[in-house]
Amino acid sequence: MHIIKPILPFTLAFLAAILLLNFFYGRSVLSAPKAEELALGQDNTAYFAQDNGYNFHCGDFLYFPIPDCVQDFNTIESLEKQAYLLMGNSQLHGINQPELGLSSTSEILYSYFKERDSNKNFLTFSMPNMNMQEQFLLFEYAQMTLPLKKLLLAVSFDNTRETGIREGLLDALEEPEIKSNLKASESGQKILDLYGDTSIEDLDLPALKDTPQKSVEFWLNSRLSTFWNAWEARGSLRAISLIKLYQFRNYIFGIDSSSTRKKIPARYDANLLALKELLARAKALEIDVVLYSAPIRGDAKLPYDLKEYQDFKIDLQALTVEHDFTFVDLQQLVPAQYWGVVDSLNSTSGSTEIDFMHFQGFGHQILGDYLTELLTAEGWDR
Amino acid sequence: MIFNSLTFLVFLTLIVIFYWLLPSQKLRIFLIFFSSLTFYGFWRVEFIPVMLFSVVLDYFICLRLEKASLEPARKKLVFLSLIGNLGLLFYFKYLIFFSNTAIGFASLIGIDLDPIALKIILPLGISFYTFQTISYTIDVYRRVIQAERNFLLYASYVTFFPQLVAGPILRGREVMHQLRDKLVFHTSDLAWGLRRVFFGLFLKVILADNIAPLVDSGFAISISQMSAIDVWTLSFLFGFQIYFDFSAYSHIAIGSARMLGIRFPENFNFPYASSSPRDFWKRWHISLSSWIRDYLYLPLAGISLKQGGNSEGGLVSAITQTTKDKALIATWAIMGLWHGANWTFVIWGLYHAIWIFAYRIFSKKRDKLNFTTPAFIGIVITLPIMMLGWIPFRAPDLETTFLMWMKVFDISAYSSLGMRENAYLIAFLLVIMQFSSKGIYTFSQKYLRGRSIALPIEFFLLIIIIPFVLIYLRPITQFIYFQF
Repeated sequence: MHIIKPILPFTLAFLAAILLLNFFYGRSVLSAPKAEELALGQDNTAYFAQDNGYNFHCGDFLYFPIPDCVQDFNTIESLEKQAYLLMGNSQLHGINQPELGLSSTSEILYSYFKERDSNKNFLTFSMPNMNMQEQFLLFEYAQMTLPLKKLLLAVSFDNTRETGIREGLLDALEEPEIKSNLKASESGQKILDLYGDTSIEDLDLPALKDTPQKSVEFWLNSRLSTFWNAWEARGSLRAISLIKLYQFRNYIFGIDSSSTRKKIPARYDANLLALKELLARAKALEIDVVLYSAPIRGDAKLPYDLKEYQDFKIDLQALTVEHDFTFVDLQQLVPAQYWGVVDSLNSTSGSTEIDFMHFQGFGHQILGDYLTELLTAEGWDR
Repeated sequence: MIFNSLTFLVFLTLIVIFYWLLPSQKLRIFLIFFSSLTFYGFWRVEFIPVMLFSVVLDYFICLRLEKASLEPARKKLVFLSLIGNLGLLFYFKYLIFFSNTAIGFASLIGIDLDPIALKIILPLGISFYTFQTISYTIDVYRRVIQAERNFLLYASYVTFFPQLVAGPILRGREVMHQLRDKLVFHTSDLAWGLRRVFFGLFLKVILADNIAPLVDSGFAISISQMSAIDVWTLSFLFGFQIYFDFSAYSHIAIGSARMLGIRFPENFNFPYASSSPRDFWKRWHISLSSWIRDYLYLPLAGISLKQGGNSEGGLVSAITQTTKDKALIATWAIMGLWHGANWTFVIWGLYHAIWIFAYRIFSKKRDKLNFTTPAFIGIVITLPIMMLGWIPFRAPDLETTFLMWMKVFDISAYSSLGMRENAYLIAFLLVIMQFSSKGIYTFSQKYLRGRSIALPIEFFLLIIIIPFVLIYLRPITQFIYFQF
């Protein structure tokens, strides 16, 4: 017994750890909704509309993959076909209380322009918290793969607090032409510096780049994943553990959806620079751009510093004027009754908070109608 | 091979099993040597000959040293070892740096030279294994140890995989006798080693790797947008990142060696609980600090050693304070340069030299006046000084370093925040965690050690640590000290 005693705690803990991982895998990973749904909460549904199997609303390269939209667009047999693109955050695919009506802005725009002219195909790329560096990258991808003529950009103050390119968009950086185009701008070069050499396969082992260990590590991980599901689901387990930590932080500090999100100066500047360079590039390529600041719920105190939010819209206005494009402020477009609630940010007890970003189907109808009118006035239907 | 990988865990498991199954120590040394070469080859095979050159050079020099009786001949042999090892280090680590510096100076005096296009890859661990072979040769020269005749044993000491890439820097007398003796398997060693390996992985993959993105995005902010609070936060965050990262490496190295029955000296001892700059360097990277003291500072200061060959054996000292001060400055500049071929590291070294020098003056005055300062006051003063010292270590250049330091003294720069809220929160929590962990460790050593309650507590801690290590284990970053 005295031989076994020293090693007993570790052995038991190791076995218990494996059982625990299996338990959490079954409880949290298998039963959890897809990441997109998880981010939106229970009251919202991710709605990526289709037209009889034709994809015109996509997410990133992993979830409702953008190449599907591009591929479907390319099946249209017309030499005159044109791509119109709407890009923005989860407001574009998140439908609050879908039981009240399933309709999305992208669907309305697609149908409106398709009815007028079958060559004008409205596509939408949306992902949660899409920042302007990501919009810049996706713009380059879209203009390379599609005959892009018009660009409708939805921007939100929230998204200026995020920077960088997420895993779901790294595939866009595989294209040499995109890399070469990005090199020509400061933002693009920054993106390349940080992500230019990263592929999704390498995401878990960048420290092993160019070493013989990389293939061994890859092989061992894939072997272990084949007979231990929890090992394969480690990415999800990491995400869940971080969400729990995030909820715990919010609980301790009383953070909820209406807590003020302050501007983060460096991130804000990086985003605005990316937007500026996107607009300049669109100008050079003779692609028309309409920019709008996304609607936000107006019957409660805004979760922003009011001055910072106003300055943000002034900055957007100035950028569009500089490039001779159109800007509209849609902050108050959607009335309060068409919004809803979202899962509490600081608990798992099922409580809810005001949702400032996602509205009901009828809100989408209002936004869609407004945009069709605006874009028609801009001559996009001609 | 990188410790924070599945490959290493499988590698270590196999080596430990085979090691203890082998019937003789000869075979075990054979296993250690070839597994160490395999371990190194998993990074780059082509640099194994560079490492073996250093090993072979000092092996033969030391055999000759022992036979040589005349002092001039002995000194020549030591000089040959220094030329060989420092030459390697100079070529791989400093050639580009010094050539660029020379070109920079030339342009200052109006001579325009074309930059030399060199593509030199720094061999992993070269700063560590060259220091180890140098200390071995000097120890043989000082007659502290005898030259080892068994080449495989000596080569295993230098290349021993747990410490090969980032230390602890081992002295021959600490390890070679352990490699020579046939060790007996103890489950307590295995359990102790496993705990240290997993604790090290926890520090690396949970703490250091998750602090890293905050530090990276913080240092990417332009100085004009950075507030003084941001500078403090970044210096604390990086201070903790490098501590968790490097001490993690040491924990894993010490634990892996112990699983093979070999004991390494400790390399860290709660450095951020130091009560003075001098105390800090007795607790941070202890093996390097003592190496630098015994093989660089003492010779530079002209201090000779009594029997025993290191400063613990006692000092023979009749040296002026000025000489000691000059040696201090030179030692720290070299220590900085050892860490990296950049002027920022030299500034980092000099920063510490200045604080150690200031503390010397302060402690002399304090002793004269016969008053004592409570340890707590010392810790509260020392911690921010040490943390600010990490700025040149992480900043990309001297200009950024000085601008960041200047922000700290700009009162008007304390009115804004430039980073995500989490960065400040995490820095604050880490400080709290640092102090509480020291208290918990002291308490457990005092009241729990050897008691029956220790086993369930150990089990409880492991059941938290192991699942997180398994979930987060992936080689997303190298250890920071790999670049040195």
